[in-house]
Amino acid sequence: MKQLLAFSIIMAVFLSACTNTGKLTRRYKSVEYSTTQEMTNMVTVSAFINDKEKEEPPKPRVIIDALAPQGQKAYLTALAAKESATDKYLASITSTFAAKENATELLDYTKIEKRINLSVENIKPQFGNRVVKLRVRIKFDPQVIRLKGCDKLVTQYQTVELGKLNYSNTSGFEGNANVGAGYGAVIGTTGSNTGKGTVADERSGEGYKTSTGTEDTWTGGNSNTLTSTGSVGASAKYTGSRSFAEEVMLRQRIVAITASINNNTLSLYQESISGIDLTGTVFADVVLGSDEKNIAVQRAFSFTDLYAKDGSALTPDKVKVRETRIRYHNLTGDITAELSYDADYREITKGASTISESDDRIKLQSGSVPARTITLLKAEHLRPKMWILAASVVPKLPVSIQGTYGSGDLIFTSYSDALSFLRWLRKQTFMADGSIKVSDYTLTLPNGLKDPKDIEVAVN
Amino acid sequence: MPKFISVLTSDEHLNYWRAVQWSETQSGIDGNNYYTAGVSMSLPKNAGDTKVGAKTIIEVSTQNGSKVSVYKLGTASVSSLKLASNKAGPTLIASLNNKINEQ
Repeated sequence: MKQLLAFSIIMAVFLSACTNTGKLTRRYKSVEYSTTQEMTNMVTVSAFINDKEKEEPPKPRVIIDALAPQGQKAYLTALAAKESATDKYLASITSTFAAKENATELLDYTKIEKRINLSVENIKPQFGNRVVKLRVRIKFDPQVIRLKGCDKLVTQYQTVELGKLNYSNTSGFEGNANVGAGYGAVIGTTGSNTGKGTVADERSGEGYKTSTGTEDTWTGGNSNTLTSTGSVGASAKYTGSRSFAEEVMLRQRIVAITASINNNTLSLYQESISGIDLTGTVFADVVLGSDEKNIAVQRAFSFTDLYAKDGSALTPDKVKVRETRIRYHNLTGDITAELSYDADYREITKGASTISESDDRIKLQSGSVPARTITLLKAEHLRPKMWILAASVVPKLPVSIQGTYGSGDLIFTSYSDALSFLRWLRKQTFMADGSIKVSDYTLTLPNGLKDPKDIEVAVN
Repeated sequence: MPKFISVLTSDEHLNYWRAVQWSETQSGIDGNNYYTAGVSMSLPKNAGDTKVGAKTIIEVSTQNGSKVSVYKLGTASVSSLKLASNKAGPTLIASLNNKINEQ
Protein backbone atom coordinates (compact mmCIF):
# COMPACT_ATOMS: atom_id res chain seq x y z
CA MET A 1 0.00 0.00 0.00
CA LYS A 2 2.82 2.32 0.86
CA GLN A 3 4.28 1.63 -2.54
CA LEU A 4 1.07 2.53 -4.25
CA LEU A 5 0.70 5.67 -2.19
CA ALA A 6 4.20 6.78 -2.97
CA PHE A 7 3.66 6.01 -6.61
CA SER A 8 0.46 8.04 -6.75
CA ILE A 9 2.11 11.04 -5.13
CA ILE A 10 4.96 10.91 -7.57
CA MET A 11 2.63 10.62 -10.53
CA ALA A 12 0.56 13.57 -9.32
CA VAL A 13 3.69 15.70 -8.99
CA PHE A 14 4.80 14.56 -12.38
CA LEU A 15 1.54 15.32 -14.11
CA SER A 16 1.19 18.72 -12.50
CA ALA A 17 4.68 19.57 -13.62
CA CYS A 18 3.69 18.72 -17.16
CA THR A 19 0.77 21.15 -17.22
CA ASN A 20 1.66 24.44 -18.89
CA THR A 21 -0.28 27.60 -19.45
CA GLY A 22 0.63 29.88 -22.33
CA LYS A 23 2.02 32.98 -20.75
CA LEU A 24 2.12 34.91 -23.96
CA THR A 25 -1.64 34.75 -24.36
CA ARG A 26 -2.27 36.40 -21.05
CA ARG A 27 -3.88 39.81 -21.23
CA TYR A 28 -1.98 41.03 -18.21
CA LYS A 29 -0.07 39.80 -15.22
CA SER A 30 -2.18 41.68 -12.73
CA VAL A 31 -4.96 44.21 -13.03
CA GLU A 32 -6.43 46.92 -10.88
CA TYR A 33 -9.79 48.34 -11.86
CA SER A 34 -10.66 51.95 -11.17
CA THR A 35 -12.76 54.84 -12.42
CA THR A 36 -11.42 58.24 -13.27
CA GLN A 37 -12.75 61.73 -13.69
CA GLU A 38 -9.76 62.70 -15.79
CA MET A 39 -10.24 60.69 -18.93
CA THR A 40 -9.55 63.82 -20.96
CA ASN A 41 -5.95 63.55 -19.81
CA MET A 42 -5.71 60.15 -21.45
CA VAL A 43 -7.99 60.14 -24.48
CA THR A 44 -9.25 62.95 -26.65
CA VAL A 45 -11.92 62.58 -29.31
CA SER A 46 -12.71 65.18 -31.93
CA ALA A 47 -15.24 65.05 -34.72
CA PHE A 48 -15.68 66.72 -38.06
CA ILE A 49 -17.97 66.18 -40.99
CA ASN A 50 -17.35 66.10 -44.70
CA ASP A 51 -18.98 64.88 -47.88
CA LYS A 52 -19.08 61.17 -48.39
CA GLU A 53 -17.57 59.75 -51.52
CA LYS A 54 -20.00 59.88 -54.37
CA GLU A 55 -20.61 56.90 -56.54
CA GLU A 56 -19.94 57.35 -60.21
CA PRO A 57 -23.10 57.37 -62.29
CA PRO A 58 -23.45 54.40 -64.62
CA LYS A 59 -22.04 54.94 -68.07
CA PRO A 60 -24.60 55.11 -70.86
CA ARG A 61 -24.99 51.86 -72.71
CA VAL A 62 -23.86 51.57 -76.31
CA ILE A 63 -26.87 50.73 -78.46
CA ILE A 64 -25.23 48.06 -80.55
CA ASP A 65 -24.10 46.16 -77.47
CA ALA A 66 -27.70 45.73 -76.42
CA LEU A 67 -28.76 44.10 -79.69
CA ALA A 68 -28.77 40.49 -80.74
CA PRO A 69 -26.57 39.55 -83.76
CA GLN A 70 -29.45 39.89 -86.19
CA GLY A 71 -30.43 43.20 -84.63
CA GLN A 72 -26.87 44.45 -84.92
CA LYS A 73 -26.85 43.55 -88.61
CA ALA A 74 -30.09 45.42 -89.21
CA TYR A 75 -28.86 48.35 -87.13
CA LEU A 76 -25.64 48.65 -89.15
CA THR A 77 -27.56 48.44 -92.41
CA ALA A 78 -29.89 51.21 -91.29
CA LEU A 79 -26.97 53.36 -90.18
CA ALA A 80 -25.17 52.85 -93.46
CA ALA A 81 -28.25 54.02 -95.32
CA LYS A 82 -28.57 57.05 -93.08
CA GLU A 83 -24.95 58.18 -92.82
CA SER A 84 -23.06 58.45 -96.07
CA ALA A 85 -19.87 59.90 -94.59
CA THR A 86 -17.58 57.27 -93.10
CA ASP A 87 -16.63 59.22 -89.99
CA LYS A 88 -20.27 59.91 -89.13
CA TYR A 89 -21.14 56.29 -89.75
CA LEU A 90 -18.39 55.09 -87.41
CA ALA A 91 -19.43 57.58 -84.78
CA SER A 92 -23.03 56.40 -85.02
CA ILE A 93 -22.03 52.81 -84.35
CA THR A 94 -20.76 53.71 -80.90
CA SER A 95 -23.64 56.00 -80.05
CA THR A 96 -25.35 55.39 -76.72
CA PHE A 97 -28.91 55.39 -75.54
CA ALA A 98 -30.07 58.91 -74.87
CA ALA A 99 -30.15 59.74 -71.18
CA LYS A 100 -33.63 59.72 -69.87
CA GLU A 101 -34.78 63.23 -69.33
CA ASN A 102 -35.01 64.08 -65.69
CA ALA A 103 -38.66 64.72 -65.19
CA THR A 104 -38.32 65.55 -61.52
CA GLU A 105 -40.43 68.53 -60.59
CA LEU A 106 -39.29 68.53 -57.01
CA LEU A 107 -35.67 68.90 -55.99
CA ASP A 108 -35.32 67.71 -52.45
CA TYR A 109 -32.25 68.94 -50.59
CA THR A 110 -33.56 68.01 -47.16
CA LYS A 111 -31.82 64.66 -47.11
CA ILE A 112 -28.18 65.17 -46.20
CA GLU A 113 -25.67 62.38 -46.58
CA LYS A 114 -22.48 63.18 -44.78
CA ARG A 115 -19.48 61.42 -43.33
CA ILE A 116 -18.72 61.94 -39.66
CA ASN A 117 -15.04 61.46 -38.91
CA LEU A 118 -13.96 60.72 -35.37
CA SER A 119 -10.33 61.25 -34.44
CA VAL A 120 -9.25 59.36 -31.36
CA GLU A 121 -5.96 60.20 -29.73
CA ASN A 122 -4.14 58.53 -26.87
CA ILE A 123 -2.37 61.42 -25.22
CA LYS A 124 -0.45 59.62 -22.50
CA PRO A 125 3.17 59.51 -23.61
CA GLN A 126 4.23 56.24 -21.97
CA PHE A 127 4.83 53.18 -24.14
CA GLY A 128 2.24 50.45 -24.11
CA ASN A 129 -0.65 52.42 -22.69
CA ARG A 130 -3.65 52.10 -24.88
CA VAL A 131 -7.34 52.83 -25.31
CA VAL A 132 -9.21 49.58 -24.85
CA LYS A 133 -12.84 50.53 -25.38
CA LEU A 134 -14.50 53.64 -26.60
CA ARG A 135 -18.09 54.77 -26.91
CA VAL A 136 -18.63 58.13 -28.55
CA ARG A 137 -21.99 59.87 -28.54
CA ILE A 138 -23.01 62.68 -30.86
CA LYS A 139 -26.32 64.23 -29.97
CA PHE A 140 -28.11 66.42 -32.47
CA ASP A 141 -30.69 69.00 -31.56
CA PRO A 142 -34.00 67.51 -32.77
CA GLN A 143 -35.39 71.00 -33.29
CA VAL A 144 -32.75 71.57 -35.95
CA ILE A 145 -31.79 68.29 -37.55
CA ARG A 146 -32.95 64.70 -37.44
CA LEU A 147 -30.60 61.75 -37.45
CA LYS A 148 -32.15 59.25 -39.84
CA GLY A 149 -29.52 56.61 -40.52
CA CYS A 150 -25.97 55.40 -40.27
CA ASP A 151 -24.06 52.82 -42.29
CA LYS A 152 -22.48 51.35 -39.18
CA LEU A 153 -25.75 50.20 -37.66
CA VAL A 154 -24.86 46.68 -38.72
CA THR A 155 -22.07 45.70 -36.39
CA GLN A 156 -18.72 45.21 -38.05
CA TYR A 157 -16.93 42.37 -36.38
CA GLN A 158 -13.31 41.52 -36.82
CA THR A 159 -11.67 38.21 -36.15
CA VAL A 160 -8.19 38.61 -34.83
CA GLU A 161 -5.49 35.97 -34.94
CA LEU A 162 -4.10 35.96 -31.45
CA GLY A 163 -1.46 33.40 -32.23
CA LYS A 164 -0.73 29.73 -32.48
CA LEU A 165 -0.13 27.66 -29.38
CA ASN A 166 1.76 24.39 -29.71
CA TYR A 167 1.88 21.98 -26.86
CA SER A 168 3.53 18.58 -26.76
CA ASN A 169 4.08 16.25 -23.88
CA THR A 170 6.02 13.01 -23.62
CA SER A 171 6.27 11.00 -20.47
CA GLY A 172 7.45 7.64 -19.36
CA PHE A 173 7.71 5.77 -16.15
CA GLU A 174 9.22 2.54 -15.10
CA GLY A 175 8.36 0.47 -12.07
CA ASN A 176 10.38 -2.37 -10.66
CA ALA A 177 9.38 -4.06 -7.43
CA ASN A 178 10.98 -6.86 -5.53
CA VAL A 179 9.21 -8.31 -2.57
CA GLY A 180 10.91 -10.55 -0.02
CA ALA A 181 12.11 -10.22 3.53
CA GLY A 182 12.27 -6.57 2.96
CA TYR A 183 10.96 -4.72 0.05
CA GLY A 184 12.58 -2.89 -2.68
CA ALA A 185 11.31 -0.68 -5.35
CA VAL A 186 12.74 1.47 -7.98
CA ILE A 187 10.24 3.83 -9.28
CA GLY A 188 11.36 6.32 -11.77
CA THR A 189 9.35 8.80 -13.61
CA THR A 190 10.67 11.03 -16.23
CA GLY A 191 8.68 13.71 -17.81
CA SER A 192 9.45 16.34 -20.29
CA ASN A 193 7.35 18.81 -22.06
CA THR A 194 8.19 21.32 -24.66
CA GLY A 195 6.13 24.18 -25.88
CA LYS A 196 6.38 26.68 -28.57
CA GLY A 197 4.04 29.59 -28.74
CA THR A 198 3.65 32.24 -31.29
CA VAL A 199 1.58 35.21 -30.43
CA ALA A 200 0.70 37.42 -33.28
CA ASP A 201 -1.96 40.05 -33.36
CA GLU A 202 -2.82 41.26 -36.72
CA ARG A 203 -5.51 43.68 -37.71
CA SER A 204 -5.77 45.30 -40.97
CA GLY A 205 -7.94 48.04 -42.20
CA GLU A 206 -8.16 51.73 -42.14
CA GLY A 207 -6.93 53.25 -38.97
CA TYR A 208 -5.38 50.18 -37.52
CA LYS A 209 -1.82 49.41 -36.71
CA THR A 210 -0.36 46.09 -37.50
CA SER A 211 1.76 44.38 -34.97
CA THR A 212 3.24 41.00 -34.61
CA GLY A 213 4.12 39.37 -31.41
CA THR A 214 6.97 37.29 -30.22
CA GLU A 215 7.74 33.67 -30.26
CA ASP A 216 8.63 31.73 -27.19
CA THR A 217 9.74 28.24 -26.56
CA TRP A 218 9.74 26.57 -23.25
CA THR A 219 10.87 23.24 -22.03
CA GLY A 220 10.21 21.55 -18.80
CA GLY A 221 10.85 18.23 -17.24
CA ASN A 222 10.22 16.18 -14.24
CA SER A 223 12.18 13.35 -12.87
CA ASN A 224 11.40 11.51 -9.73
CA THR A 225 13.16 8.42 -8.58
CA LEU A 226 12.63 6.43 -5.46
CA THR A 227 14.95 3.57 -4.88
CA SER A 228 14.93 1.02 -2.18
CA THR A 229 16.58 -2.31 -2.02
CA GLY A 230 15.94 -5.47 -0.10
CA SER A 231 15.76 -9.15 -0.55
CA VAL A 232 12.95 -10.38 -2.67
CA GLY A 233 10.96 -13.44 -3.48
CA ALA A 234 9.14 -12.09 -6.44
CA SER A 235 9.66 -9.25 -8.89
CA ALA A 236 7.63 -7.19 -11.31
CA LYS A 237 8.50 -4.53 -13.86
CA TYR A 238 6.38 -2.10 -15.77
CA THR A 239 7.40 0.46 -18.30
CA GLY A 240 5.11 2.90 -20.06
CA SER A 241 5.36 5.93 -22.21
CA ARG A 242 2.91 8.53 -23.50
CA SER A 243 3.14 11.10 -26.17
CA PHE A 244 0.72 13.97 -26.55
CA ALA A 245 0.73 17.01 -28.82
CA GLU A 246 -1.83 19.66 -29.63
CA GLU A 247 -1.92 22.84 -31.61
CA VAL A 248 -4.46 25.53 -31.11
CA MET A 249 -5.09 28.57 -33.25
CA LEU A 250 -6.14 31.35 -30.94
CA ARG A 251 -8.66 33.73 -32.43
CA GLN A 252 -11.02 36.25 -30.99
CA ARG A 253 -13.90 38.10 -32.56
CA ILE A 254 -14.15 41.71 -31.55
CA VAL A 255 -16.47 44.55 -32.40
CA ALA A 256 -14.48 46.69 -34.80
CA ILE A 257 -17.17 49.33 -34.84
CA THR A 258 -20.88 49.45 -34.28
CA ALA A 259 -23.38 52.24 -34.07
CA SER A 260 -26.78 52.85 -32.62
CA ILE A 261 -29.26 55.67 -32.91
CA ASN A 262 -31.40 56.62 -29.99
CA ASN A 263 -33.12 59.86 -29.13
CA ASN A 264 -31.43 61.67 -32.04
CA THR A 265 -28.07 60.58 -30.68
CA LEU A 266 -25.52 58.65 -32.71
CA SER A 267 -23.51 56.27 -30.55
CA LEU A 268 -20.36 54.66 -31.97
CA TYR A 269 -18.64 51.83 -30.13
CA GLN A 270 -15.20 50.36 -30.67
CA GLU A 271 -13.19 47.78 -28.80
CA SER A 272 -9.67 46.51 -29.18
CA ILE A 273 -7.61 43.48 -28.39
CA SER A 274 -4.18 42.76 -27.04
CA GLY A 275 -1.64 45.23 -28.33
CA ILE A 276 -4.04 47.31 -30.36
CA ASP A 277 -4.64 50.93 -29.45
CA LEU A 278 -7.83 52.57 -30.67
CA THR A 279 -5.95 55.72 -31.59
CA GLY A 280 -6.86 56.68 -35.13
CA THR A 281 -9.68 57.99 -37.24
CA VAL A 282 -12.87 56.13 -37.94
CA PHE A 283 -15.84 57.35 -39.88
CA ALA A 284 -19.53 56.73 -40.15
CA ASP A 285 -21.74 57.77 -43.04
CA VAL A 286 -24.90 59.31 -41.68
CA VAL A 287 -28.15 60.50 -43.16
CA LEU A 288 -29.50 63.69 -41.68
CA GLY A 289 -32.90 65.10 -42.32
CA SER A 290 -34.54 68.32 -41.44
CA ASP A 291 -37.15 68.80 -38.84
CA GLU A 292 -40.36 68.50 -40.89
CA LYS A 293 -41.59 71.72 -39.36
CA ASN A 294 -38.83 73.78 -40.86
CA ILE A 295 -38.47 73.17 -44.57
CA ALA A 296 -38.45 76.02 -47.03
CA VAL A 297 -40.01 75.56 -50.45
CA GLN A 298 -38.98 77.68 -53.41
CA ARG A 299 -39.92 77.73 -57.07
CA ALA A 300 -37.19 77.65 -59.72
CA PHE A 301 -37.31 77.91 -63.48
CA SER A 302 -35.47 76.66 -66.53
CA PHE A 303 -35.90 77.76 -70.12
CA THR A 304 -35.35 75.64 -73.22
CA ASP A 305 -35.69 76.19 -76.96
CA LEU A 306 -34.02 79.57 -76.68
CA TYR A 307 -32.15 79.25 -79.98
CA ALA A 308 -32.84 77.83 -83.40
CA LYS A 309 -30.49 75.32 -85.01
CA ASP A 310 -28.80 78.11 -86.95
CA GLY A 311 -27.98 79.86 -83.67
CA SER A 312 -30.51 82.67 -83.94
CA ALA A 313 -32.55 83.53 -80.85
CA LEU A 314 -36.09 82.21 -80.97
CA THR A 315 -38.99 84.51 -80.18
CA PRO A 316 -40.33 84.48 -76.57
CA ASP A 317 -43.50 82.63 -77.54
CA LYS A 318 -41.42 79.65 -78.77
CA VAL A 319 -39.51 79.29 -75.51
CA LYS A 320 -40.46 76.46 -73.18
CA VAL A 321 -40.55 77.16 -69.47
CA ARG A 322 -40.23 74.48 -66.85
CA GLU A 323 -40.98 74.95 -63.19
CA THR A 324 -39.29 73.07 -60.40
CA ARG A 325 -39.92 73.26 -56.71
CA ILE A 326 -37.00 73.05 -54.32
CA ARG A 327 -37.23 71.81 -50.73
CA TYR A 328 -34.36 72.71 -48.45
CA HIS A 329 -33.52 73.32 -44.82
CA ASN A 330 -34.87 76.57 -43.53
CA LEU A 331 -32.07 77.21 -41.06
CA THR A 332 -30.19 80.26 -39.98
CA GLY A 333 -27.79 78.78 -37.46
CA ASP A 334 -25.08 76.17 -37.90
CA ILE A 335 -25.71 72.54 -37.14
CA THR A 336 -24.12 71.75 -33.83
CA ALA A 337 -23.99 68.60 -31.77
CA GLU A 338 -22.99 67.56 -28.30
CA LEU A 339 -20.00 65.25 -28.28
CA SER A 340 -19.32 63.03 -25.28
CA TYR A 341 -17.51 59.76 -24.79
CA ASP A 342 -16.74 56.93 -22.37
CA ALA A 343 -13.44 55.11 -22.52
CA ASP A 344 -11.55 52.28 -20.88
CA TYR A 345 -7.87 53.01 -20.65
CA ARG A 346 -5.17 50.41 -20.02
CA GLU A 347 -2.30 51.98 -18.19
CA ILE A 348 0.81 49.94 -17.48
CA THR A 349 2.23 50.32 -14.03
CA LYS A 350 4.99 47.75 -14.47
CA GLY A 351 6.27 45.77 -17.39
CA ALA A 352 6.11 48.43 -20.06
CA SER A 353 9.61 47.64 -21.26
CA THR A 354 8.49 44.47 -23.04
CA ILE A 355 6.39 44.41 -26.15
CA SER A 356 4.32 41.51 -24.90
CA GLU A 357 1.43 42.51 -22.70
CA SER A 358 1.40 39.28 -20.74
CA ASP A 359 3.87 40.53 -18.16
CA ASP A 360 2.18 43.90 -17.63
CA ARG A 361 0.84 44.99 -14.33
CA ILE A 362 -1.95 47.30 -15.37
CA LYS A 363 -4.50 49.74 -14.14
CA LEU A 364 -7.70 49.61 -16.17
CA GLN A 365 -9.36 52.97 -15.81
CA SER A 366 -12.89 53.75 -16.92
CA GLY A 367 -14.19 57.24 -17.27
CA SER A 368 -16.66 59.52 -18.99
CA VAL A 369 -16.01 62.85 -20.60
CA PRO A 370 -18.93 65.28 -20.35
CA ALA A 371 -20.56 66.64 -23.48
CA ARG A 372 -19.16 69.62 -25.31
CA THR A 373 -20.73 71.45 -28.21
CA ILE A 374 -19.13 71.10 -31.61
CA THR A 375 -20.08 72.68 -34.93
CA LEU A 376 -20.56 70.09 -37.63
CA LEU A 377 -22.11 71.96 -40.53
CA LYS A 378 -22.40 75.59 -41.46
CA ALA A 379 -25.93 76.72 -42.23
CA GLU A 380 -24.90 78.09 -45.64
CA HIS A 381 -23.73 74.62 -46.67
CA LEU A 382 -27.24 73.31 -46.22
CA ARG A 383 -28.83 75.89 -48.44
CA PRO A 384 -28.71 74.80 -52.08
CA LYS A 385 -27.07 77.23 -54.45
CA MET A 386 -29.61 79.30 -56.33
CA TRP A 387 -29.10 82.08 -58.82
CA ILE A 388 -31.18 85.05 -59.75
CA LEU A 389 -31.06 87.73 -62.41
CA ALA A 390 -30.62 90.94 -60.45
CA ALA A 391 -30.07 94.61 -61.14
CA SER A 392 -26.40 95.49 -61.27
CA VAL A 393 -27.09 98.72 -59.39
CA VAL A 394 -28.23 99.17 -55.78
CA PRO A 395 -30.72 98.05 -54.62
CA LYS A 396 -29.93 94.80 -56.35
CA LEU A 397 -33.43 93.48 -56.56
CA PRO A 398 -34.18 90.42 -58.70
CA VAL A 399 -36.07 90.07 -61.96
CA SER A 400 -39.56 88.86 -61.09
CA ILE A 401 -41.66 86.31 -62.90
CA GLN A 402 -45.42 86.14 -62.88
CA GLY A 403 -47.36 82.98 -63.60
CA THR A 404 -50.86 81.81 -62.96
CA TYR A 405 -49.99 81.20 -59.30
CA GLY A 406 -48.73 84.72 -58.63
CA SER A 407 -45.49 86.67 -58.83
CA GLY A 408 -42.06 86.05 -57.32
CA ASP A 409 -38.33 86.02 -57.94
CA LEU A 410 -36.96 84.41 -61.09
CA ILE A 411 -34.73 81.72 -59.60
CA PHE A 412 -32.43 79.25 -61.36
CA THR A 413 -30.87 76.11 -59.95
CA SER A 414 -27.70 76.42 -62.01
CA TYR A 415 -25.44 79.28 -62.97
CA SER A 416 -25.19 78.12 -66.58
CA ASP A 417 -28.97 78.09 -66.95
CA ALA A 418 -29.17 81.63 -65.58
CA LEU A 419 -26.37 82.88 -67.78
CA SER A 420 -27.65 81.34 -71.01
CA PHE A 421 -31.11 82.73 -70.34
CA LEU A 422 -29.69 86.20 -69.62
CA ARG A 423 -27.80 86.11 -72.92
CA TRP A 424 -31.01 85.26 -74.70
CA LEU A 425 -32.94 87.88 -72.71
CA ARG A 426 -30.57 90.66 -73.76
CA LYS A 427 -31.48 90.01 -77.37
CA GLN A 428 -35.16 90.57 -76.69
CA THR A 429 -37.24 93.71 -76.89
CA PHE A 430 -39.02 94.74 -73.69
CA MET A 431 -42.27 96.59 -73.17
CA ALA A 432 -42.17 100.19 -72.07
CA ASP A 433 -42.76 99.21 -68.44
CA GLY A 434 -39.73 96.90 -68.44
CA SER A 435 -41.64 93.64 -68.84
CA ILE A 436 -41.65 90.89 -71.41
CA LYS A 437 -43.96 87.95 -71.97
CA VAL A 438 -42.12 84.62 -72.28
CA SER A 439 -44.41 81.72 -73.07
CA ASP A 440 -47.20 81.97 -70.49
CA TYR A 441 -45.14 83.97 -68.04
CA THR A 442 -44.40 87.65 -67.64
CA LEU A 443 -40.93 88.78 -66.64
CA THR A 444 -40.39 92.22 -65.15
CA LEU A 445 -37.09 94.01 -64.68
CA PRO A 446 -36.41 95.44 -61.18
CA ASN A 447 -35.56 98.98 -60.10
CA GLY A 448 -37.68 100.39 -62.89
CA LEU A 449 -35.16 99.24 -65.46
CA LYS A 450 -36.31 99.10 -69.05
CA ASP A 451 -33.31 97.34 -70.58
CA PRO A 452 -31.77 93.99 -69.55
CA LYS A 453 -28.24 95.26 -70.15
CA ASP A 454 -28.18 96.35 -66.49
CA ILE A 455 -29.07 92.86 -65.31
CA GLU A 456 -26.53 90.32 -64.12
CA VAL A 457 -26.46 86.84 -62.68
CA ALA A 458 -26.21 86.85 -58.90
CA VAL A 459 -26.03 84.09 -56.34
CA ASN A 460 -29.00 83.92 -54.05
CA MET B 1 -49.08 99.98 -48.63
CA PRO B 2 -47.83 96.95 -46.59
CA LYS B 3 -45.92 97.75 -43.44
CA PHE B 4 -45.34 94.24 -42.15
CA ILE B 5 -43.66 91.35 -43.91
CA SER B 6 -42.71 87.75 -43.18
CA VAL B 7 -39.34 86.42 -44.36
CA LEU B 8 -38.18 82.80 -44.34
CA THR B 9 -35.38 82.52 -41.80
CA SER B 10 -33.04 81.03 -44.39
CA ASP B 11 -33.62 84.09 -46.61
CA GLU B 12 -32.75 86.63 -43.95
CA HIS B 13 -29.11 86.75 -45.09
CA LEU B 14 -30.05 87.99 -48.59
CA ASN B 15 -29.17 91.56 -49.44
CA TYR B 16 -32.86 92.32 -49.91
CA TRP B 17 -36.08 91.23 -48.24
CA ARG B 18 -37.84 88.38 -49.99
CA ALA B 19 -41.21 88.62 -48.29
CA VAL B 20 -43.50 85.60 -48.50
CA GLN B 21 -46.27 87.42 -46.60
CA TRP B 22 -47.07 91.11 -46.45
CA SER B 23 -49.83 93.11 -44.82
CA GLU B 24 -50.85 96.56 -43.73
CA THR B 25 -51.16 95.39 -40.15
CA GLN B 26 -49.38 92.95 -37.89
CA SER B 27 -52.68 91.24 -37.16
CA GLY B 28 -52.96 90.61 -40.90
CA ILE B 29 -49.63 88.80 -40.77
CA ASP B 30 -50.44 86.97 -37.55
CA GLY B 31 -53.75 85.74 -38.94
CA ASN B 32 -52.21 84.22 -42.06
CA ASN B 33 -50.45 80.90 -41.63
CA TYR B 34 -49.82 80.08 -45.28
CA TYR B 35 -47.56 81.00 -48.14
CA THR B 36 -47.07 79.80 -51.72
CA ALA B 37 -43.68 78.75 -53.04
CA GLY B 38 -42.53 81.21 -55.65
CA VAL B 39 -44.90 83.96 -54.60
CA SER B 40 -42.92 86.72 -52.99
CA MET B 41 -42.28 90.43 -52.90
CA SER B 42 -38.75 91.77 -53.09
CA LEU B 43 -37.89 94.88 -51.09
CA PRO B 44 -34.67 96.67 -50.29
CA LYS B 45 -33.42 96.35 -46.73
CA ASN B 46 -33.23 99.43 -44.57
CA ALA B 47 -31.93 100.28 -41.15
CA GLY B 48 -35.40 101.24 -39.96
CA ASP B 49 -36.74 97.71 -40.42
CA THR B 50 -37.30 95.96 -37.11
CA LYS B 51 -38.03 92.36 -36.25
CA VAL B 52 -41.28 92.12 -34.32
CA GLY B 53 -41.87 88.39 -34.13
CA ALA B 54 -41.45 84.88 -35.46
CA LYS B 55 -43.84 82.09 -36.34
CA THR B 56 -44.27 78.98 -38.44
CA ILE B 57 -46.22 79.06 -41.66
CA ILE B 58 -47.20 76.32 -44.11
CA GLU B 59 -46.45 76.11 -47.81
CA VAL B 60 -49.74 75.43 -49.55
CA SER B 61 -48.58 72.97 -52.21
CA THR B 62 -46.31 70.80 -50.07
CA GLN B 63 -47.77 71.39 -46.59
CA ASN B 64 -44.24 71.84 -45.28
CA GLY B 65 -43.89 74.13 -42.32
CA SER B 66 -41.33 76.91 -42.30
CA LYS B 67 -40.17 79.33 -39.67
CA VAL B 68 -40.40 82.98 -40.62
CA SER B 69 -39.42 86.23 -39.01
CA VAL B 70 -41.91 89.07 -39.03
CA TYR B 71 -40.50 92.51 -39.74
CA LYS B 72 -42.03 95.93 -39.38
CA LEU B 73 -40.79 98.09 -42.20
CA GLY B 74 -39.35 101.50 -41.43
CA THR B 75 -40.72 104.64 -43.03
CA ALA B 76 -38.05 104.70 -45.69
CA SER B 77 -38.76 101.08 -46.53
CA VAL B 78 -42.41 101.80 -46.94
CA SER B 79 -41.56 104.56 -49.38
CA SER B 80 -39.22 102.32 -51.28
CA LEU B 81 -41.89 99.67 -51.58
CA LYS B 82 -42.61 101.38 -54.84
CA LEU B 83 -39.50 99.66 -56.09
CA ALA B 84 -41.20 96.35 -55.61
CA SER B 85 -43.91 97.34 -58.01
CA ASN B 86 -41.22 97.65 -60.68
CA LYS B 87 -42.94 100.74 -62.03
CA ALA B 88 -40.73 103.40 -60.54
CA GLY B 89 -38.44 105.28 -62.86
CA PRO B 90 -34.72 105.86 -62.26
CA THR B 91 -35.34 109.43 -61.08
CA LEU B 92 -37.75 108.31 -58.39
CA ILE B 93 -35.42 105.51 -57.34
CA ALA B 94 -32.54 107.93 -57.02
CA SER B 95 -34.61 110.33 -54.95
CA LEU B 96 -35.81 107.51 -52.67
CA ASN B 97 -32.29 106.27 -52.20
CA ASN B 98 -31.14 109.78 -51.32
CA LYS B 99 -33.94 110.05 -48.81
CA ILE B 100 -32.99 106.71 -47.27
CA ASN B 101 -29.35 107.73 -47.07
CA GLU B 102 -30.26 111.02 -45.39
CA GLN B 103 -32.04 109.11 -42.66
